[in-house]
Amino acid sequence: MAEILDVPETRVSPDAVLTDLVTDSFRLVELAIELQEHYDVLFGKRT
Amino acid sequence: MSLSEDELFLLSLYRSSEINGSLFFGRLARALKPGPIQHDLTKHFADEAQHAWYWTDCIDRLGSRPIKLADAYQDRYLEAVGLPMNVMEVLAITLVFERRVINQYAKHLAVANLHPAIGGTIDKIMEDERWHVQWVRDALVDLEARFGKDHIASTLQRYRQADQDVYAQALVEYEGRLGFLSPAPTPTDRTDDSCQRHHRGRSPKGGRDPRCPGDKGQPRRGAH
Repeated sequence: MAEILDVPETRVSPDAVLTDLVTDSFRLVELAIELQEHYDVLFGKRT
Repeated sequence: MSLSEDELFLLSLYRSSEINGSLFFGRLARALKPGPIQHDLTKHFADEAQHAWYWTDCIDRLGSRPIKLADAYQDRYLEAVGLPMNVMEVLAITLVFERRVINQYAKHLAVANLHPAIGGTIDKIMEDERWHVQWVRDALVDLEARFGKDHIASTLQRYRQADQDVYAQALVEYEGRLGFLSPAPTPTDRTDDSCQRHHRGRSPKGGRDPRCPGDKGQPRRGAH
């Protein structure tokens, strides 16, 4: 994750909030799609 | 003929929105696995970049320079509905947005004494926009097995509502600048001016035309 996000590993802790790590909204969407494609899973929104 | 301040603003907004769309689709095209959606999304990305160039060139030919805008129209969508988090949501919001774009360009085509450079630019873009709607709609049908038909329909409904809210808000905000645009064609006016203009002297390439109220069920086989 640290590599994909291009942030120091120390910042990617289990309780890290993704939106704190990725401030670019386009990058966040791109990352979400990449992860779903890579792990063959689907993300949805919390309701 | 030179551009009025309001026209320059609107053309700059079109340009900015096309650039943002291109950048967004380009990044997604990079993230997706090879397949039909990656294929078409990559073409879509290239089209949007080309449209940004068309507007840049159009503004230049009319003796102006694009206004640098901080954000684009589609940013408002993300603010209204949140970030799309999977391919289906990306395509659903794209479909709703593309229809809004087509509607907006059709309105602009109906402006009296429209400069040929602007009309020609919109005509070129419209050819691509029709395909954008078609491929996204087809892709969403293909995704029904994965996401569920009802879920896709409810997502589209949610985005359509947001689209109406965002557009209404934009009209209020830009009221002074958009006054030169004529009223939107009514859905029942099948021979509206923009539709006639859109089809003049052109052989349709096939597929449905979302701007034309009669083109809803069957692929178009000839000009109406």
